[in-house]
Amino acid sequence: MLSKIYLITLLISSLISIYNYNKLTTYLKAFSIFLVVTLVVECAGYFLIKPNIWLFNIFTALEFVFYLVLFRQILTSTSKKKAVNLLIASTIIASLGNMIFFQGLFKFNNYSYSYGCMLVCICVMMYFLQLLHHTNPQPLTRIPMFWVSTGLLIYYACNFFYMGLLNYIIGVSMEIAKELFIIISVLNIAMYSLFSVGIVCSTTRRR
Amino acid sequence: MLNNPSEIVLVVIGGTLIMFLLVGTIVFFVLSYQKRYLKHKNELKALEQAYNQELLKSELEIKEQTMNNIASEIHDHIGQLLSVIKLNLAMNPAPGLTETKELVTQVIKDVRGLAHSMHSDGISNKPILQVIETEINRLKKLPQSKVTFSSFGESFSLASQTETFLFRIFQECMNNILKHAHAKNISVELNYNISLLTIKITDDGNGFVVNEVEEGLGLRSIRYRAKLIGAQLSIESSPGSGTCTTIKVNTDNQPIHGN
Repeated sequence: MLSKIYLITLLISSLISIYNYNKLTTYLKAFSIFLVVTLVVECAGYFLIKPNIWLFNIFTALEFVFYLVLFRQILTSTSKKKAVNLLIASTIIASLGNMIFFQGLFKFNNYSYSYGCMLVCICVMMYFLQLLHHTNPQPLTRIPMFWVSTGLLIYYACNFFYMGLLNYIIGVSMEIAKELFIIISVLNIAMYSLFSVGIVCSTTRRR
Repeated sequence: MLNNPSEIVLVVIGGTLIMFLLVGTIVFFVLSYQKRYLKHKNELKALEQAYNQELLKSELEIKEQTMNNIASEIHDHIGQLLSVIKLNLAMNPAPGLTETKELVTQVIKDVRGLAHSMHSDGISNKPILQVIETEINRLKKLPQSKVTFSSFGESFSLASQTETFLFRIFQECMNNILKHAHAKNISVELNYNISLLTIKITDDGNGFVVNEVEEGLGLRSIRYRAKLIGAQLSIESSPGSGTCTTIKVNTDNQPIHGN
């Protein structure tokens, strides 16, 4: 039930972003396209493709790279940009390496996933620091990327334990893994709701 | 290792909750820090504005005091000397001096008029309509511009300080026109409505881009004085098309003295 609600939240978020597409800034336009792609992949994985682990392994790797590139664009400091470049390269290597040499495509890649989660959280913290040291600060609640970053931080920091231990939990009990998936659904709902707030806030700010 | 399912549940839920609290704390800290920072910045801005206002107020007070001193000097010293000259001339019955006597009488009148228009006491005792009319009559004698004056509606008096400030704004506008605009025609209109006095000063001079002009003491003091008396000030101008300055004072906000 909750997983359906989170798909609905994702659908609403995507619809809001498509509706306001022309009013969005370049990076938010890319973000809105990515939201639509996410919706398509999530729906395909949920309703059409079984088993879907390989699909999510590939998609989550691309997802991390996308978020890191997004942060690379919005971070203004050259040194931070360089650091994010390194993080992007390390994510690609970790994801491909894990897929090819370690966990394979048909087992959930929890090592590279946990690593990606950590990197996204680091980028969000760097962005928050940038906002705090801005010379001409705007109220944070009016900055769309603040909401998007908060959504990402909540989602990726809080699912770290579950996703990190997922293969182990599945090994112990599949039932527990399914029951605990409720956490991920709630986090997804929170994240996509915050994305919607960010996009709405972006359009109201430009009027 | 965790083999007991309840332990796994505890670790995952506990860990997630801890992370959630951590994220919540970070977001709360970022928001509250930025809120405090913005508040601090706004306070600094307000302080700076107050300081600038105070500075401008002092500049205006000094200017007013200087003008009062010059006016007193013109009235008491130069006026006195001219009166002595007039007296001496009066004692000389030579017919060739008639024109000179008339000229001296005119100069004495003009000098007194100038002194009165400069001194704040000379302004505050008379209604704004009369003071502006006197000033315009003085300006009409200047050769470079043609000044026209018109007044509409039944006149009324405003608070003495408001009238003084209005007159100073008017003087500053005229001064700017004569100094910078090189206008051939200047029109001054006073419009008395039931609760609104509108002063409109129009010229056909050089004009300027309102947002691009660097504000000197004159323009700043116009804005500041208008703000102090709660008047609505609008300056419309563009290069080559002259300037129109409108000052609107709502009498509802002013203590009115019947005429």
